[in-house]
Amino acid sequence: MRPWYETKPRLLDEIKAQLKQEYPTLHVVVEDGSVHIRGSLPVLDAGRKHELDRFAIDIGLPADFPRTPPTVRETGGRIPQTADRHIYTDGTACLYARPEAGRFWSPTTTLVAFISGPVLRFFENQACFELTKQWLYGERPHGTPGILESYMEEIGTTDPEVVLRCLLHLTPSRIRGDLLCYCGSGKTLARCHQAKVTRLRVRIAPQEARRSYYEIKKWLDGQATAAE
Amino acid sequence: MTPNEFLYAVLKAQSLDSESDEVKAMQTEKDKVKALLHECFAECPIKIRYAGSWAKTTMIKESYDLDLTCYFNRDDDDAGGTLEDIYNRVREALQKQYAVDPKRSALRLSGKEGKAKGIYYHVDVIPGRFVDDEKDDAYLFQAEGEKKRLKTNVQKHIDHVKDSGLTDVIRLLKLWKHRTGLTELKTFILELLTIEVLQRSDAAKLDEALVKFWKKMKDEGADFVIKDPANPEGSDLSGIFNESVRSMLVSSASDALARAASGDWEGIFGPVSEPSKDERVAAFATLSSKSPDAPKPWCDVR
Repeated sequence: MRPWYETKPRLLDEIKAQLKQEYPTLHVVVEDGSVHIRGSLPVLDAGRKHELDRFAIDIGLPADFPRTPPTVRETGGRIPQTADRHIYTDGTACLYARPEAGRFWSPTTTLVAFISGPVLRFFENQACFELTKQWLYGERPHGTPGILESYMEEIGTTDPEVVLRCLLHLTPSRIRGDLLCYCGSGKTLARCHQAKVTRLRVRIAPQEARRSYYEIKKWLDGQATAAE
Repeated sequence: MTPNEFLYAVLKAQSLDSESDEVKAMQTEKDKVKALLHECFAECPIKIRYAGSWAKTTMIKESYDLDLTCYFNRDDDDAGGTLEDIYNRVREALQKQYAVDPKRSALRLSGKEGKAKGIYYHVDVIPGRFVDDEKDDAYLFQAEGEKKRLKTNVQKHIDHVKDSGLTDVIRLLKLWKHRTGLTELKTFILELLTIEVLQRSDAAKLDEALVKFWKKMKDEGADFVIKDPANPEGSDLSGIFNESVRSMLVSSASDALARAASGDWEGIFGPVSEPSKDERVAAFATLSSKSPDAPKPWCDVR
């Protein structure tokens, strides 16, 4: 199979042009059949005048780019490769909880928007943590509790059972408005939170909803058993 | 402040003296590495020497590491018959106490367990074998690229840089390389380019020397010829100084020239005086309020 940058050369040219304009210290490197964006990423203050920090990074664009989101690595050896700093042992940064991927990446997201969004926020967070031992934007708990937390925020609830019921609406490929709403109002979804579920559907595919549902269910069951 | 005064202030801010915390930590780790290697290769008379920016006096605070060569005798097969064997044996020895990230010829060390897990120690070990009994030239294994063997001479490289009289310009260009994100451009290549362009130059001031370098790279970087002083006819540098690297260099040199022409030296090298901790904390607090929907980092570990 020919790599994407050969089948879509204009996309690669667009990325190069956008980077030169917005992030001139990041460079496109084609290496061993894959594309990397390498260089240094400045962390600027809110007025974008003063540099607060700078990180050496590598953004890898996968073979099926732009379908799958890029991977991000810090390459300067500054951030320890540990889960507590949200870096896997292979050096990959974990920018957000898995089910949130749809919030920050879609095949129409430009690379510059991705860098200016979750990538920059991640390194602002890391720079602040190095300075103060506090996460600027917070952090998620590892594993399933972090996934559950992300859904709670997204749905606007503190009740894990509400999250599970909401995920059940998202597991089929078609949203059914005749089912009872996840919120517990007793109304049908169509007369209650269908708009919200429809918005969530754009970002959370049925497969991810199923996977999340079973992970959270298993974790909650484990918690209940441990409490007994 | 004139551009020349500004650049000297940058150099001062980038200095790492032997009493600095960074250097002390590096030296402590270096002693541990030496002890570990001597213990693991007690039967082999290995020679461990400083190489890289520490030996060349071109270290900068923004991006530094201590390179240690670990060379075996020409006829010593205890560590392995081939260069790759030596590379792997040294890696295995270091893995007893460190997490080892193998690079092209070097082995990068970071913490393995406990508090230091994943923390980079700023120490790299370069295994190799002396070419002959003179113990000057050595062969290194190359884990990447087509050629698996590289002939080199650390002392020649060190002398080439130190005797050039250009260590200040080299330090500034290393800082520029780092800030410009020219990670693909090897420091070794940058040093050779700097010396080749400026060794017979009449540029008296640092800013003049830098402008001359960037202009040369902008105009001729695409096909500028350099030779490895340790192996002028043998080392093929085209693999590490390829078309892609040259293109990035030309583009970045053009940007730097434009900034220098408009007097924006701070845009190239950053400010000399860094904001205080309180100022940075305040700046981060402002950032936080501007991005209420920022993602929170996570990790898929159970």
